[in-house]
Amino acid sequence: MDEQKLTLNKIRLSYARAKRDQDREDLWIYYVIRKISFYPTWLFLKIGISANQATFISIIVGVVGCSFLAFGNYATRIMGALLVNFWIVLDCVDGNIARYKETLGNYGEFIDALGGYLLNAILFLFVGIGVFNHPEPLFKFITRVFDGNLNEIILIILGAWASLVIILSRLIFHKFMNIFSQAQSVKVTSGVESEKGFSHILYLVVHNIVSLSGFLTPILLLAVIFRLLSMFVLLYALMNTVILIVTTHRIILKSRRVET
Amino acid sequence: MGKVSIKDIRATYSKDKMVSERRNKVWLYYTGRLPSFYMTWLFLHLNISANQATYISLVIGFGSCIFLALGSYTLKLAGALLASLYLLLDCVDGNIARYTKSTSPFGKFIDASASYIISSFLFMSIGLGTFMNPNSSILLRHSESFFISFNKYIFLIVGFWSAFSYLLARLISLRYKTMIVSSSDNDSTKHLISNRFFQISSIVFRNIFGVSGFFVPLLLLAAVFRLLGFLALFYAVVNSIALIFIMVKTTLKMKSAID
Repeated sequence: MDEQKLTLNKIRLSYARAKRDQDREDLWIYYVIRKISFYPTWLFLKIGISANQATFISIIVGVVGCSFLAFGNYATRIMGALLVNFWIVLDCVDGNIARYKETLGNYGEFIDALGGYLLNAILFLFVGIGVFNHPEPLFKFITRVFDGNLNEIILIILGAWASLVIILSRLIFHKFMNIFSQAQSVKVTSGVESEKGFSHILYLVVHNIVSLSGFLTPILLLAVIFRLLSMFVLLYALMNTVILIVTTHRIILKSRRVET
Repeated sequence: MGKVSIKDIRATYSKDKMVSERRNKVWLYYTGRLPSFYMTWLFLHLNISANQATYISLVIGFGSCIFLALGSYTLKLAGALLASLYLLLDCVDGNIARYTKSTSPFGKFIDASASYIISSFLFMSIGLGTFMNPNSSILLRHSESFFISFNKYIFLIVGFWSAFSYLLARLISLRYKTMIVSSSDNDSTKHLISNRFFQISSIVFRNIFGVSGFFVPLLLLAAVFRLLGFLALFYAVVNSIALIFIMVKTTLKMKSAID
């Protein structure tokens, strides 16, 4: 690689050729994060960090960020939320590097996915633990309304539930892909997209709120700043449960259709 | 359908499956397989299809979770017994499908999904049960005599943690399998298996990890001796080790598949 010629434009071009259309559904990534990600990509390429090394750095940043959310006070929580937002940038960077250097491969894809699962799994639980340790004014107010019958422990339960349900729905989705792509030679795409009209718009909205590549990370930052993390945990416990039910339902319908 | 005999049902249980089960699911092989044939016979007589059997197992599994999570001593015992019934039914649906030659991708899919849901909920509910009913736990009643003083909240977190470290481990290994199957060169990854230490530890691991190994007898024992809190802690550790192990193993294998 000729180092002299490394420019932002070249990085942008390598992205546009390969990945641009895939990103369109993730509005936050498409319009904001991807654009920011070119700068760290340039830096990482300059220093000579490979795509896989970038993935490992991103996992460390994400896990440290989540730990800050779980075991910190207000200031460290803001740090944590910023780190999680930085994680999503780095998550784009590794792909950028791989495309630029043309080193895309199964291994890279695998550890990238692994990092995503790990973060998705621990984020809600750790936020739940964080608000349990340092209850927010809003939650204290709510407990007073409920006359002390509501315990902070509910926040851990909600966080853990949100985490559990989101992994479960991913697992069920992947099992579906795994079984049906082996059984039939038909190309099985995601169980939910590929539809038009209202249900597609609804899908886009929900997808963009719930998935880590959607508006989850900026919402997290806002929730930390305005001390609304208990509402954040409640919101995602509900949303993720809905996602689990809807995905499972749709996948079952779809797999019946594929079979007959 | 002609006359259903136990012998015919047995004949559908293939040698390959038997050999792998004798190694990897010792408890199921020696205690569950035989009753499962009789149960299959019953279900076939009642005209219950394989998929219906899966749904029944799902209901029984949920019942077991609810008893374990909310019950007192006797109900927890009943929950543990229901968990062993669930495991039995989990074999029955496969038996029915093989006997009636109705194995299908859809059947495989709901079977796997049901087992993900019930396994994770079982882990969760043993922790939840100790939290909801702390007096029924020996660990909590005599907590001052242990090195760490056990707080009941710990068990809640422990239950959730073991549930989702289990699911995460499953998710990662599933992703790995999907990618390995889709890429043609999977022969280069076999060399790790040849190691004797790896073989033994993988057999031990397969027998402990998940709910189809020694989980069910341990659950029964724990329910009898009021040690469900201890079991929750044990499985939190087991599942965390499994998660780390699977993460490291699949990453290394993926890497070696490339070099």
